[in-house]
Amino acid sequence: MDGVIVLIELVVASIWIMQGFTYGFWKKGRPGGGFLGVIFGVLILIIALVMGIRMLIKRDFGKKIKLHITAFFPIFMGGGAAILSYLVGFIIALFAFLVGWLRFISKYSWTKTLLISVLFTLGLYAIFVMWLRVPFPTGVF
Amino acid sequence: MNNFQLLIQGFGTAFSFANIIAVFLGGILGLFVGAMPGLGGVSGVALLLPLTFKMNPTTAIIFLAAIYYGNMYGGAYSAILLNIPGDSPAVMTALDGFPMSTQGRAGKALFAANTSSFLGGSFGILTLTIFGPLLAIFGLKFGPAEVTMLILLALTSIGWLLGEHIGKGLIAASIGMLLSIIGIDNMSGGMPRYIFGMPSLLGGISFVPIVIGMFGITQVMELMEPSESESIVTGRRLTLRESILNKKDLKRMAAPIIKGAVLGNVIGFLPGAGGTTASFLAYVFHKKTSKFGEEMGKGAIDGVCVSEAANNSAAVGAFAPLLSLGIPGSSTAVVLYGGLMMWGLTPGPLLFTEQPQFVWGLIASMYIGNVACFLLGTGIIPFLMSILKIPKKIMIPVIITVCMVGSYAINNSMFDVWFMFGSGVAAYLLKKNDYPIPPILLAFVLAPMFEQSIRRAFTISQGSPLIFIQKPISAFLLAIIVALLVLPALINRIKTSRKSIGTEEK
Repeated sequence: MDGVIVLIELVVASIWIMQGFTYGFWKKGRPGGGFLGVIFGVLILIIALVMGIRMLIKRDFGKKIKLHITAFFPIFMGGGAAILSYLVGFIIALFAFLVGWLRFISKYSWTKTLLISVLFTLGLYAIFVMWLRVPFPTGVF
Repeated sequence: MNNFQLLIQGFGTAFSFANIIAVFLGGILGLFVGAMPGLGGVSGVALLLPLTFKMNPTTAIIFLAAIYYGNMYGGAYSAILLNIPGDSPAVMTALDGFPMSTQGRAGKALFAANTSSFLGGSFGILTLTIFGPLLAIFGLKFGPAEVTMLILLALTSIGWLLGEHIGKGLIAASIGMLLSIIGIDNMSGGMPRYIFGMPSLLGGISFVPIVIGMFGITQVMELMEPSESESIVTGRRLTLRESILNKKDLKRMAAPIIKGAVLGNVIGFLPGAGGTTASFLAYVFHKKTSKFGEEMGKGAIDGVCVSEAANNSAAVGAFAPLLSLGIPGSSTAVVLYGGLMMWGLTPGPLLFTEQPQFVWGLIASMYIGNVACFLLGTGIIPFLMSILKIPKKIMIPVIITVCMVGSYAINNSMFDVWFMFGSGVAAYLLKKNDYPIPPILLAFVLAPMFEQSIRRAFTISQGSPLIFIQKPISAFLLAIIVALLVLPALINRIKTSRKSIGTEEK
């Protein structure tokens, strides 16, 4: 995995350096828009190269990490809620997310699930919508 | 009249019924806003500004100031309990505060954070009373060259937080730097940089979605890994009685609080430095100089104390340049500056002479506000501790919901929600590969300040780097940076050569 990360870093650093030069490294006797982008990019490039060369010499490309699919549930479910928010609105999508999670992942009873979801969503609505007037997406319906 | 006589008069103003209510209400709202990931000082003060339209100017500013320093107290709570820093200065608090929570010492961490915030804030207010105008003038000596060196010093010090894998730590810090320069470059006439055709990136990447993603979402992902524990706490949970700070705790807390308060206050006076730089430098300084330094980052009470004392002291310190010179020292101070102007109070040297009742009333209200925040904060600790009793099965979806709302609310943008999930996954994978996360966030906060000041410095000097040597404060800071970079290597070398001489002699 370390090897992959180093490769990504090399690519990102190269892009930042090249783009940085297009914004201007030094213009009219002072730093241009790409000044720090180039410097930071070069810094990453050097470190990533040193790490990469070390890996090649030692033939050690980092430990193999075990990823649990369950760890990504928050991303799948949260991402699903974010997509749903375009259709039904943010607050309703969050309510649906809470219901879905508590019922099907946490395995709570419907009563407990609905009680927690309704109370929490109402709290969010009171604070963010009614008091702070945050304009959450309302969906297409 | 000396400052203390003026302060006593100020208490006369501050103790009016309306002002006392403003202090307490502002303190409560500040605690709440600070603890809510996604709101924080600037947005909290800005969002609540309309509430002050019907107040008189003194009450209004007292109210906003109370929100500001109440927010500094509150930022620590979500950092300690959920590993989601409420605002950027609380990143350093999370480093030790959350491990303390998982070890069952959440109550102790909360009490320590409150006490340190109170003492740091008190020190800041006392310094503001005695030396405010004088220190503000000292702050003025910090031009772009000096601020550049100060931030560079902070950036260099990130090295001390990198842990075992220095290369990985440096990479992490560099990632933060790269992300920080995305968006419109205001110093080049509004030129967009590194946006890769995405208009959502024009405004740059906000700190809040990154910090929520990298701390909150990563935390939730780790909690979702198979484990037998039903709650976040892995160790024995201390009772409220056991959590109250004892003599031993207080003795250990003294040094970090003093260091944090003094360093934080000095940095607070400097225009543009702010609470994050203060808490970070104070943390690193204490880590290097304390005998408990090795324990920091693993749940040491020192870490919570030093960063909380520093950010509260800095928050108050920022009032000195704001009131005496009309220079806002932090982004929240900019909003307060706007508030002052709105009520026809022009911040600057004349404010102290033309509006003494207002200025000293405000300073006096800070004493009351600081005590109020301490009492309110301490009063809610039992409630806060009970949050950790909520089963993981409920906490996880609730944290995700709060993360989503917090990320959206900062800019009213769904892009920030997606970015939060993305940075959460990235941080999770990086963490699994032993890359430290705090350097990313600290570099992300410090790099824009560094860029602004270094470019200003070069503009002033017309491209000559000599500006950093010609100015005494800047040259002094540069010497410290060089010493910090060279000395450890030199000491190591001397140690190694001594060892080898010793072996040869044997």
